[in-house]
Amino acid sequence: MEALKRNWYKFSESKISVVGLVLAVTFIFLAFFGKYLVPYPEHIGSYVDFTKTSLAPSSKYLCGTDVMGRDIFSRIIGSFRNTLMMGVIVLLISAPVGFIVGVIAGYHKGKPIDTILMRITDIFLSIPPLILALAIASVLEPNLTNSMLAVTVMWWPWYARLSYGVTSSLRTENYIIYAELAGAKLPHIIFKEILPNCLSAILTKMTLDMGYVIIMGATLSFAGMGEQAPKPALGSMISSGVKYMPAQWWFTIFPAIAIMLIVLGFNLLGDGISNMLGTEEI
Amino acid sequence: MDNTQKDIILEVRDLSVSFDVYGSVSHVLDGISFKVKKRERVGLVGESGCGKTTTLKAVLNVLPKNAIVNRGEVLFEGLNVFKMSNAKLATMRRTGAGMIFQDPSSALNPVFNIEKQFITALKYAKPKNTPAQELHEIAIDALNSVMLPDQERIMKSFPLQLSGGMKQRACIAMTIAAGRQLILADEPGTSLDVTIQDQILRLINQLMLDKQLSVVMVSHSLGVIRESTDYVNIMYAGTIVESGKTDDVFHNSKHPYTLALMSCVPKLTGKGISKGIPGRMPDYMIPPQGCRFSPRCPYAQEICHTQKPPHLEISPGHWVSCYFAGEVT
Amino acid sequence: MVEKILDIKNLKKYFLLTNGQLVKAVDGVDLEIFEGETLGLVGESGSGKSTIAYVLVGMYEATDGDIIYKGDNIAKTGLRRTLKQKGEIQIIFQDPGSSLNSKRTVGKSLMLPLQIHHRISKSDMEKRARELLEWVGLPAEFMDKYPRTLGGGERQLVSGARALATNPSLMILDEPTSALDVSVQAKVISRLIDLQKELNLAYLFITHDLSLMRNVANRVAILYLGRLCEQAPTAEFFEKPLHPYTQMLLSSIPVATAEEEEMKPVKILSTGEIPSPVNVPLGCAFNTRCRDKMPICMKERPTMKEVSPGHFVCCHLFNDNTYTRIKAAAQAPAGELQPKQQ
Repeated sequence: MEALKRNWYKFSESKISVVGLVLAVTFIFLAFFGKYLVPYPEHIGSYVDFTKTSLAPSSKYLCGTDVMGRDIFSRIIGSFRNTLMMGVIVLLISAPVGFIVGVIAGYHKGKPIDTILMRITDIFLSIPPLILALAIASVLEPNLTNSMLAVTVMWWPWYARLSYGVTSSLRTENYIIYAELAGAKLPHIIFKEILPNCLSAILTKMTLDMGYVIIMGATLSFAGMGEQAPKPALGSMISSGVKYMPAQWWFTIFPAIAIMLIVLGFNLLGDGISNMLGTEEI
Repeated sequence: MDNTQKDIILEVRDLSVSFDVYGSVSHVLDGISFKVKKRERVGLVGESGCGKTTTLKAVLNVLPKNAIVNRGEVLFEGLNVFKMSNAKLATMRRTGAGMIFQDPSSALNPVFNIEKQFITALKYAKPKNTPAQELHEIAIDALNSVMLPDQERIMKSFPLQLSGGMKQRACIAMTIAAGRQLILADEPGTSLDVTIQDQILRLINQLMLDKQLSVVMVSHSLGVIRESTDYVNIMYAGTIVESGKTDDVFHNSKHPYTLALMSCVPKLTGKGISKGIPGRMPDYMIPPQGCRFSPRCPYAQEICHTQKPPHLEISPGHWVSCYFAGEVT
Repeated sequence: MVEKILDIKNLKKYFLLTNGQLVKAVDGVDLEIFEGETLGLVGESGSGKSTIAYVLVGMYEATDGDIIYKGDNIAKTGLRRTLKQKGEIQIIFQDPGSSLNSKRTVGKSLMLPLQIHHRISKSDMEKRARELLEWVGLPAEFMDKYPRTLGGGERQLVSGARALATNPSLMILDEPTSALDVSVQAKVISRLIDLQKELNLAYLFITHDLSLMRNVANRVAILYLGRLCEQAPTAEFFEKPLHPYTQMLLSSIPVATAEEEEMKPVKILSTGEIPSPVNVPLGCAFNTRCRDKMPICMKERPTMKEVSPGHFVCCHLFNDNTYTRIKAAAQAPAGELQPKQQ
């Protein structure tokens, strides 16, 4: 409890981090419960009403309607669920995979396995991320699952790098040496001794990454690779609305603002968390 | 009165400093008072956490942002450092008092060679338009006085290329070259090997005599203090518990903490060491109301726990902060 | 008859740096440790004392030489030694901050060796861990504490408890109290001495603090740049130091009482820097700083000679034909040894 109080104090010292926390929590909340709260839940998904097509923002339709007559506001909120899922699943897979690669390489620093693993990591890191993701996504059928797969494949190396760095610096700590001398096996050392010390760095990175994964997902769906119509996705909403600019500006601007706020929220939150964990007493 | 005042280069009066730690307050220093005369070597002895480094920082007024000076003054040559103008403060730090740090590796900037750091330091200490050549000569001279051979080579070297002992000598040279009269030495030999530490301490003593400097030497090692100071203050948990001539305090200790400390030091004669002092240092967030040593003192009585003990002069120049000074052995 | 449990013969450990230089960290050291005694190892930086500790405990493999522990030669086994051997030789490190994993409770850290070495149930392990805490004089509540809430001395005691978990016969104490305050050091040392008596442990006590050594060790050996200079029973080591380096070291230590000051050899003013182990001087390693340097010291490395029972010196001043002259001088009262001009 004492630690929680102290951590909150550190975190809330930066007011702007609290803003980030609020944005991120709102996003997550809406991802879960949004469809019960929006004014037009049936507009999320296939719905057509050409009588209401392309209406400008008003009190009835907060963000206006799209070509099919669907309320854009509801669709934006409705897209949050998949957006969040993309972020969570990508990170939940790439972080552990990256960690294992990085920790094994870092623990055996200087030996062949280190070189092999880290060079593989380097190869993945040197390919421009977007190109890699597009290449993978285009080979496979365009849907949410495959775009998540594409992003995961290019995301794990960052966690390998991070874990490698932490592990290398911990390698010479006395308690690690002691564990080896006492006869502890590698799995114990990795998971019970090293992992707890990596956690704060990994969690901070995951929070910051959430925003970037979401943008990557939006980019893929912008290019037509992600979730297909009629399910709503922020990226595809923007791409289909581009040709109507600037007359029906609300087709693209509101989804863009949504992306911006989500990413901003996670960035500020991540900053706050790194301040909080970074200054933790050893 | 005026004559003795002129003789005192540093006076700390009833200094009390606290720190703001995430909303709670840590009451570290509680009424520290001591004087340093010209050409005198004064020691500050205490274990880690007792506030010695905080005291030194207060003297130079370089306390961290979250420090609160509750009361007290630090008078350098008669002027209070907490009330000095920025200009006067800068002058004091450049030419008045200087610090020698415990770890010379972190006191020197690794990316500049000695020459660059030395000349920069001297530039601010000497009159404005002193030619570079003259500054260079002053530096060489200073390096010579700290017994560093081959001064030109040292000037061109980077800290990485010098050994611990050489770096510490270079730091000492930089501190005295500016003409400072008061040297604050924070555990000057602790990070060095014993034979090198011995050389450094002898050097400081020699320089002190040659250049008529005053030294405040902070250490946790009683042996170092005994060999390098004339006058000593024993610190415990932010308070000074005993002070006097080094000989007096070491051979005629009167405060229970001093006695306990002396018995804990391993003796070369092989007479063994005690079992240590029971208990721990107090938590500065809730410090004891009375004497700060009372929770661990074998002689403590009711009054010790509730009221701060007075500072008594039990023999000329020998002060003890204890109700029962003179009764304990 | 006290059993000899450790016999180190001509131990060498060299490291090859990436730039091709050879660091002779340990260069031909002979030591013996008997059951239940404390052998003190003294030296400054570059002396190789920590390297010896790490070779003994399995972190490094010896480059050459033999280490016979209870009949087995463990010099080249490194971490491949048997689990039993790993349990019998334990170590306490210098830095209390990194000896324990700050993210694990004291209890978890203590139970680690128990998990590895004994196949007992979880509740038995907890009981044993509490027992270990008691042995070192710490309250059982510490089981659930994290190291950051403990003081330096307490952390070292926890390291001690952890080392005892496997019932070792030999404990290597690598500067265990150098980072601690004097009063805390006293507490830890007195506890270690008590434990030694209770459990008949042998200690290899490594430190640069000679005053501490005087009160802890039965015999003392002093190292300089990877080589042994002198070895003797403690009292004799301090009262009749023979090697010039020993004398220099003893005269450099700051002492707190006049009584001790008198014990020190007359000021052998220490001069010069310690050479790097990459560049060990030819002949006797100490010849760059020795006030009694002779021509032979620059050419030939001296060998270890026993000058009186149990007292060994490695110095050309004590080669047989010069010994009697020097012996007479060494036995003269301290005031007569005058430092020569460099």
